[in-house]
Amino acid sequence: MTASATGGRRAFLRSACKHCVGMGALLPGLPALAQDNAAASPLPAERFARPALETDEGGLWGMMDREETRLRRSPFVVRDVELNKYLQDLVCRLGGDHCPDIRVHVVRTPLFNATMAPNGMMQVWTGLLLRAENEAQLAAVLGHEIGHYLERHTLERLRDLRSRAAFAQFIGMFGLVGAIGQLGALAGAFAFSREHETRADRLGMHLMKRAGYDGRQAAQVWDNLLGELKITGGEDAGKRSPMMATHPPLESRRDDLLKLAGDASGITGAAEYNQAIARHRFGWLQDEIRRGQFEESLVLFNRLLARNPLDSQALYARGEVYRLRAGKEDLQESLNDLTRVTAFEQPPAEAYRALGLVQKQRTDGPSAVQAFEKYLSAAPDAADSGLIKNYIAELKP
Amino acid sequence: MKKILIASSVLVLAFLSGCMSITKVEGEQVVNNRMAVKVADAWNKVSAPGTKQPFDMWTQEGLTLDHLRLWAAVKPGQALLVHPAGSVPMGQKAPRVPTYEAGMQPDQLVSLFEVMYSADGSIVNMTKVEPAVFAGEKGVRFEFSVTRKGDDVLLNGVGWVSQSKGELFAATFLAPKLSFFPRLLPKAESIVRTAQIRG
Amino acid sequence: MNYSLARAHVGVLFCVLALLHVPAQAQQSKNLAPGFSQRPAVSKLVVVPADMELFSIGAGGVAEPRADWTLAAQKNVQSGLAARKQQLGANVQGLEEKDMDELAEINSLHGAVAQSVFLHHMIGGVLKLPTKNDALNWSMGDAVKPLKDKTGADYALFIWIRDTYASNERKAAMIALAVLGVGIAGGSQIGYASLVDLNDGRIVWFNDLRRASGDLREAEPAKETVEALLKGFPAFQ
Repeated sequence: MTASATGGRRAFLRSACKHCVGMGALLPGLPALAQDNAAASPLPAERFARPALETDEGGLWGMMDREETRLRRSPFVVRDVELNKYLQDLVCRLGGDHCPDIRVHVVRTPLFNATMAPNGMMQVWTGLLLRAENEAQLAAVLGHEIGHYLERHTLERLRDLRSRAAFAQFIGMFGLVGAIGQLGALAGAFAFSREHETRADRLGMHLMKRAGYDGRQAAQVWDNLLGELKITGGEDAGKRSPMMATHPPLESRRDDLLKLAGDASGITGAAEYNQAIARHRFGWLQDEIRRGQFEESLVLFNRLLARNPLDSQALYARGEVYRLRAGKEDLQESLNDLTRVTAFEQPPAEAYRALGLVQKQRTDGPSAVQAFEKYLSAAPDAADSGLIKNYIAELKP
Repeated sequence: MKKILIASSVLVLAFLSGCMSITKVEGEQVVNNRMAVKVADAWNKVSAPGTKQPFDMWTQEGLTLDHLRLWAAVKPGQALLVHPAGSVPMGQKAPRVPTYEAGMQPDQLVSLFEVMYSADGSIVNMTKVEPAVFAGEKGVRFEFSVTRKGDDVLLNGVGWVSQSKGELFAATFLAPKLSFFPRLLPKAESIVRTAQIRG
Repeated sequence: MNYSLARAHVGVLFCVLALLHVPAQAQQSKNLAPGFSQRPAVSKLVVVPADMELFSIGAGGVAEPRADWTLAAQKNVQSGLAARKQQLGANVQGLEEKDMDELAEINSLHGAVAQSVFLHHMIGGVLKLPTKNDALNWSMGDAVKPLKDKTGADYALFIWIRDTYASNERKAAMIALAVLGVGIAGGSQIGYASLVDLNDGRIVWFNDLRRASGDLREAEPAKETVEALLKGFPAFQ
């Protein structure tokens, strides 16, 4: 290691620790953000230099670089140029000078999650993009992740884990980052500490507000996630969601975030956000339905419909989930939703299919045929057109 | 590459610890005593006495490449796949186990296989679903694609399913989209065409 | 932490280490496809960037990725291959990492094929596929066409290595436990080299390494690993 490299790293660590101590003193009282703005920016002034290769951090960067190369080539990555530009621009507004070091990858996984590796690789899962209600909420989550990145929490955590015998596993040998990203079991072991979480919340809030967003949306987005998970058993929630497993829910989070946010100022960016994800949203809703976690999906779809009762995609999605769950009252609920949505001006073609299947289930042949025929005319190239035509033939007298 | 070694390492463990065996199958074969098939070109049958699956699994090129799964006389309430202990997919309270129920409609039967192949986080896309005869009974034939989570490999698949006297009979064949699927599909189809329910 | 999953993986670690003991390969033909033994004299070879990762094993058996070792290993393997010009031939092209972006699908498919060859043929035993009749008989068919079109090569060489090295703490632990009569594994080297015929997609030659020795971190010992990996590499006609 050259002298300058050592000096540079040590200097950074010193400065990082300085503001860590400062933040630590501020933590208990969680003063209003106005004070934070007045104080010097808590962000590290300089961009991170690539760590020397023989350090443990260097080792992790190396592995994550290779993981990122794989990710870039993966069929799981959403390659929409416009969507990626939108997200990269958002990240740049949040990350300021660190923007050139952060690379966003959208990964098609129907779960709420965003991660950021020490080498600047950011993953945003499509389940998160489906659930965020506006740009401010997405900014809150990404700002939180950038907070972890700027303070190197991931590195601290990984260092901590390595000394634990529990981490001595074969998996470590064959894809450290991949394993953490993909196996829920390990995600739990990886969890950020309370202190890390609080710091990331504060930093994320600072970044959000600095970029002009309404900070209160931060409380909303985490709340929404918790609501979804609690429906199938509260205590368990943390272990099931990779986001919650790595970011253990803090009881006072909502109140702390609201306090940090201060007054209601700043944009939410709902229209811009909906526009940005419009092309993909229906596909992500279908991915969510396919998870087969009906209770959680219903919480999500109900929330979407509460916001906009005319959301035809969400109304179809809810009707379809009732149909698939097939509980006692579900067939009726499904019929209600699907009848309503197929009366809209331009319902998704799948809504006619679902309605047809429900009518078939209720042995209402004529209604089923009617719905199926509408489905086939709306989607003549549907994958299951052969099967549906057969249903029509069987149901017609 | 990294992740498939994890999956196959678990396979290796299963192999070594469970007296797993691979045997040659050809000529007349019977699945679960209830479905007979004729095998013109020999296949390799993989048996794992440890975690007993409700299907027979055969392969031509190896388990990281292709497989032919055969189900016979699956009863209502029985799962199409047994998850290895302790492997709950991320984001789920309990593994979503595709379970056959009496009176299932063809579209529901196809869903079972969609669930089965997406259990590990892979993306499954049904590309064709149409009525067909399987094992002498009216049923469904479906085509699908799989983007495999473990190693990003793209695979194509085809499946057949029918019901007889309240029991399910099915077969699926999956292989890499490039080269392997087109080459091996005829072998799989020639077996499936000969399927006959017994008893 | 999911205990049974963790146990399964620890179990796998020991099972795989057990597989490291490889009885001497009597027949060379295990590494060659039926009917193939040498490359045509004027054939061109393309070398795909080697996929390798080096780790340090700590006292508790924790595998820690070492980027500096991996980078050194990549350089050493590259120079080791360059030094084997006589074995590889004069008409050799090395692909860059960036070239692999457009070849991702072929690369991941080859990985899956190599895995099956590794498990069902090289390790073999109870994992053997009877229909293969003990032959190295795998092909990627026309899937390799884009690679052929891009490089004009006749053969492609793929290399994959995962290497662990015992840290000093680990070595100390090994000694200490050995005194108590407990043997624990030090480091290990697992890898393969695969030669694919780009005209028909066949894997014409395959060699694997499963051993507890070898050092890729320094140039000279790395040459030995490359030599071991390329042992029996098909000569020219």
